Amino acid sequence: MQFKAEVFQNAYLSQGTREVHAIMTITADDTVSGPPGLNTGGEKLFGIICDTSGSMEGAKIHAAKQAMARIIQLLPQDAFFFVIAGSDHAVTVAPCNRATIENKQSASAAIRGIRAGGGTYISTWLSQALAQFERMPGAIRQGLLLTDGQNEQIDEPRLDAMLGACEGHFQCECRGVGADWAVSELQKISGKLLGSTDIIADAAAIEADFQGILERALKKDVTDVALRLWTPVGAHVLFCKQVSPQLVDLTGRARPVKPQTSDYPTGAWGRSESRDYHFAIEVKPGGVGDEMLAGRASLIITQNQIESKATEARILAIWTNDDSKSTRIERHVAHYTGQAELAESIHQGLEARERGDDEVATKLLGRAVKLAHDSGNEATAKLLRTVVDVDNAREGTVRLKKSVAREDAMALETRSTKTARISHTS
Amino acid sequence: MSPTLVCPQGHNSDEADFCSVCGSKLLNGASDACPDCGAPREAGTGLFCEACGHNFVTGAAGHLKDATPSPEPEPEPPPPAPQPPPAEPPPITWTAEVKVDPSLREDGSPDPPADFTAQAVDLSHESNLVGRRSDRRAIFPEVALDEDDAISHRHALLTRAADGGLVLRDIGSSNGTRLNGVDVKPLVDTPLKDGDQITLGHWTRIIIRSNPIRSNP
Repeated sequence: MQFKAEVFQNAYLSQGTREVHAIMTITADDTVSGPPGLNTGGEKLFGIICDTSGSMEGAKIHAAKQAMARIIQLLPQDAFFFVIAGSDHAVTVAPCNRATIENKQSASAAIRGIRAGGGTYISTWLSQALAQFERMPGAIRQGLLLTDGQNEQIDEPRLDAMLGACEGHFQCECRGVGADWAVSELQKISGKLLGSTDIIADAAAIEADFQGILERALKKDVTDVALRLWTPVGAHVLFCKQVSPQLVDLTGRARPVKPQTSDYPTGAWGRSESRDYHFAIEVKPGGVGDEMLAGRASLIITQNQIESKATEARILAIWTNDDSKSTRIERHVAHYTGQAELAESIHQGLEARERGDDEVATKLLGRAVKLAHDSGNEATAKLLRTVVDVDNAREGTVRLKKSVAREDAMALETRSTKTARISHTS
Repeated sequence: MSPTLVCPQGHNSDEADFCSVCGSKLLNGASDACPDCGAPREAGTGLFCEACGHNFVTGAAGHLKDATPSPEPEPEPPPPAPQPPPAEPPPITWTAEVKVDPSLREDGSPDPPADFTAQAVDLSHESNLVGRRSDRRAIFPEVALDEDDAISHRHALLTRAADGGLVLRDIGSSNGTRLNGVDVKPLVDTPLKDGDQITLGHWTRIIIRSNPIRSNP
C-alpha cells in the first residue's frame, strides 16, 4: 500500500494577506506496493463495549445481544476480539482472544447470559477496554461502543480523564440506540477516539449497523498514521480539519513534535481509502513577488516505534499585485469551506430550535438547505427535510416543521458532519 | 552530512527547496528559472521570460512587451535535421499529437470544429509553450491551440528535462490541465511518458509520443 498526497490551493495572495488555505487529498493506493518495511494487513483486534444498564432492558438489550453474537460469528479466524458489558462497572464478558470457533462459541454463550441493570459509568467501560486493547499494542485496534443513555453526571470528570488515557491507544465508533442519549457526549468520545457517532433509532437496526462497522474495520491495513505539519517560524496554524468523508476538527489535537512541527492523529487507514484535509495557516506577509513555503504536510506511519514518512506535499504562498490571480478562490477550498458552514448552520440552527428561537432557527436551517442544495449534498438535504418544510431550496426559504421526531433531529445533528466530496472532474 | 544550505534570510536550511526555518525559497541553481512560471531562462533571450513575459529586471509579472517585435511566423515543425545540430543530438525526440475530441465537451461549451485535422507538433525546443496565439500580446506558442477558447494564451509548458525526459507544467491556466484524466497542480512539474494524454480547454486532447519509446521516466 502506498499513500499519495495532492494539494489544491490558490497560492497567490494579495499584498499584506496573511492567511493561506489549502486542501490536501490523501489516498491510500493498494495497487502499488509501499516502502519496504511497511507492515500492512497486520493483526486486527475488535472490541465491543455494550451498555447493559437498566434502561437497556427489553427490546434494546435483546437486539444488542443478538447483534453482538452475530458479528462475532462473522469475524475471520485470524482476527482477535473481546466483549465488555458496561453498567455501574465493566464486566469482561469475553477477554481478548483469537476468533477461533471455540472462542466464538464460548463468547456467544457468555453474551446470552448478559442481563440489563444498573447505571451508566462509561469511564469504567473505557478503562476495561483500554486494558484489553493494551494486550495487543501492534494490532489495528478498533472499538465499538453502544449505549442508550447519558453518562452519570458524577462520572463526567473521570470520563474526561479516561478519554485522555485512551487517546491514541484505540479507535472507537459510537452508536446511540433510541433517543435518550446525548449527541454531544458521544461525539466527544468518538471525536477523541477517531471514530464517528451515529444514531440507531430502532433497536432492530443494530445488527446491520454493527456489521457495517466490522466490515470497515476489517478493511483497515495500517494504523497509527499521523499528519505532520511543518510551518515556518512566526506562522500560526489557524485550523487543521479533516473535511472528507466527514468533518473532524483536528486543530486542538496537535501534538508538538519539535518547534514548528506538530502531528495530528488520523488513526488507521484502509485499502483505497481517500480523505481530504483543510489547512489554514497564518504567515508573516511577504512583499510582492516573494514566494515562500507556508506549510509542509507529510504522512507519518509509526510501527514498532519507528517513524516512516509515507508522502509529502507543499503549501505555498506567493504574493502578487495581480488581483486576477489573488482573488480567485480555489474550488476545493471553496467547496469545503461551504461544507463546514453547512454543518455549523445545522448545529446552531438545531440549538436555536431547541431553545425556542424560531426566527434564528429558520434562518440558519434555511441557510443549511441552500448550502446543501448548492453543493449537491443530497444526504444532508434529505435529513434537513425531516426538520423543515422547504419552500425553495435554491433561495434557502424554509418553514420549521411543527412537530419533529426527536430521533430525526438527532440523526440530522449526528450526520450533518458527513460532507459531500468534491469531484475532481467538474 | 549534506552541505549546509543557506536561505536568503541567512538561516541554515535542512531542506533543499524552501528554508526549513522561515520557508523562503532557496535560490540554489534555480535562479535561472523564471520566478513567475518556472520556465528556464534561455541565454540571450533578453529581459523577459520567453514563456510568460515576466520581467527579470523589474520583477513585474506578465509584463507586456511594448514594442511588438516583428511577429515571427508560427514555429513550424522543423524538418528532420537539415543542418548539423549544435550539440549532441538528444537520444529521444518528443512529439505532441493534437486532436479535437468531441467527447470531452461539457455543457455550455461551443461545438468543436468539425473540420479540424489532427496535427503532430515536434517538441524540438527546450521549453515548448502550449497555449493560444495572441498577436496583440506577442504570444506565439509552440503548440498553438487557437481553435479552443477555453485554453489560456499561456497555458502550460512542455519542457525537456536534463535527462532527456519531458515534463508538463501548468503555468497557472484559467481552466486547468488534466493528465490522463487527473487535474495537474499548477506550477508543478509532472514527468511524461509515451502515450500520456493531456486534456485541456473545451475539447482538446494532446497525446505525447516519444521516439524511441520512453515509458519509464
